[in-house]
Amino acid sequence: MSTVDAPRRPRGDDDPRRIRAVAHVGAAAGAAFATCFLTGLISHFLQHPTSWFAWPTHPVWLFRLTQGLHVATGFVAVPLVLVKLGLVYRRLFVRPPLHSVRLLVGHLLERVSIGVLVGACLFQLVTGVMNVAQWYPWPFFFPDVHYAVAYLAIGALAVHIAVKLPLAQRYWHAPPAPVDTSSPLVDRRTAVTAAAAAAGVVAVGIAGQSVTPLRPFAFLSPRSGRGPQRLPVNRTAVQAGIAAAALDPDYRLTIAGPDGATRAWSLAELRDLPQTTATLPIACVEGWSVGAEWTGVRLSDLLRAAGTTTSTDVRVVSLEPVGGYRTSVLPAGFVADDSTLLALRLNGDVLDLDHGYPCRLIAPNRPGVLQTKWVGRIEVLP
Amino acid sequence: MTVLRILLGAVGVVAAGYGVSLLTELPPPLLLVIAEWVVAGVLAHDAVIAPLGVAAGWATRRWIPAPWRRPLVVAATCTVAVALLALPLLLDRPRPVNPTLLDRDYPLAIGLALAAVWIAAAAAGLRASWVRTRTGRRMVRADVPE
Repeated sequence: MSTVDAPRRPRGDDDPRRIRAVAHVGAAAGAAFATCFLTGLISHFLQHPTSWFAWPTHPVWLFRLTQGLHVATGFVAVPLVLVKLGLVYRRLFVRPPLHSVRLLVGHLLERVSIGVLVGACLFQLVTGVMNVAQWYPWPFFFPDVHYAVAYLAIGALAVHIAVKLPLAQRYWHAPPAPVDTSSPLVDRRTAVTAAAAAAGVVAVGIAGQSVTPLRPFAFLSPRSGRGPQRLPVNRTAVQAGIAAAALDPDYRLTIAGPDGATRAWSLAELRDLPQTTATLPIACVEGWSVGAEWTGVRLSDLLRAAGTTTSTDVRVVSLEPVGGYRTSVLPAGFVADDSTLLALRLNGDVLDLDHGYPCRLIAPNRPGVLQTKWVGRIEVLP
Repeated sequence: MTVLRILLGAVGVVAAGYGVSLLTELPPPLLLVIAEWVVAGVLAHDAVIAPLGVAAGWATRRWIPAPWRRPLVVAATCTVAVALLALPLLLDRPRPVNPTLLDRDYPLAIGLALAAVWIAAAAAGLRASWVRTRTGRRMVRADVPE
């Protein structure tokens, strides 16, 4: 062990092998954040539709993939960021260059930008991981804040990459020879191996919440993937306070046309209409997804029976009296899709109360939170 | 390269500025809470997690024989990452009444995963020790970081 007592280099961070390790682990963390950001944008614009964001109805598994990736890359980013920050931690204690105002200003600017970068990235990881487990010990609305801070994190990351690109490029491949025996507490290969191994272990721990065959191994997933009728529940009937309204024998599904004319169906009448079966996943914004077989009335058939158009957006309204997700707007392309149903049955049985009895919306390739449950009213928008 | 860097920097500044503009639409008391969470995250890392990591790294170099260091650091990193991500699953905290949420035996599942990590690390350490013993003094350079 000749390494402990070796003389210190004046500036340990100039150790090329450390810079190389930082570049490699940093690139992986950056890729994880970029994937997380882009997939997060998809989820955001599905929940806040804008005219320029068109999302297809097929393939039906696309949102399942993007949102599964969103949560998985966020989880995997945790060990990558930990190792990355560990490798550069000593930079926190670099003495400011007090002999030159110009250098000092640059130094302080870098400190502030790194502070924003680290603060925003850790905030995104912490709040995201807690949200997936439905833990909200804060007064703000998670989606709005997670969305806003995402721009801060990705912006600070882009600036950071712009600043560090030449350094990373210079040391990306085999570094020049001199072996610095003083600085690293761990060597480059150990750091990269640790980052890769921990990322792999975390990936196995979370991927199974979206990739069904890996489900038994998903030791970090907040859900087992089981539930009533072999499907987990994001928000139960008890949580929604919906049981009385949903079980009311006088239940009617009302369709309101763009002119305000309404027509109503009882549950028995809905069951008498032609039934369609579709295999579609519930893909939750929290990352979990499970495929299921749904049977019910095709939405476009129902709109035609109501004598109204199938070529405009519709608003689907739940029986829930309150709640941020009691309504959802279904874009015209999804309204017309043959696999978009008002489901009455799930995996062969009458829809469970927790899954939206008496009837729920199920459309392809959308966030589960927009697959409105306990539907009471459908408004055809002009 | 220079163009790419300027472009990346400009896009970054615009994106971060947009994030700030979105945040400023929130009521100031909420902004304060968000700032607290951001600062708490940085402090938790810089004042607790990272110093513990440095201490662990120092102790590893001081007391752990060379062939065992890499497996130990790798397994410890896996353990810390898993432990942090497991906090919302294991901590005693307010939980929604939803039987399909947090419905695994997490202590068992996480224990098994970490057992697998440490068994792999032990195997790697044993193998490295064995290689070193067999090759004798030719491997003494393994003491020096790569």
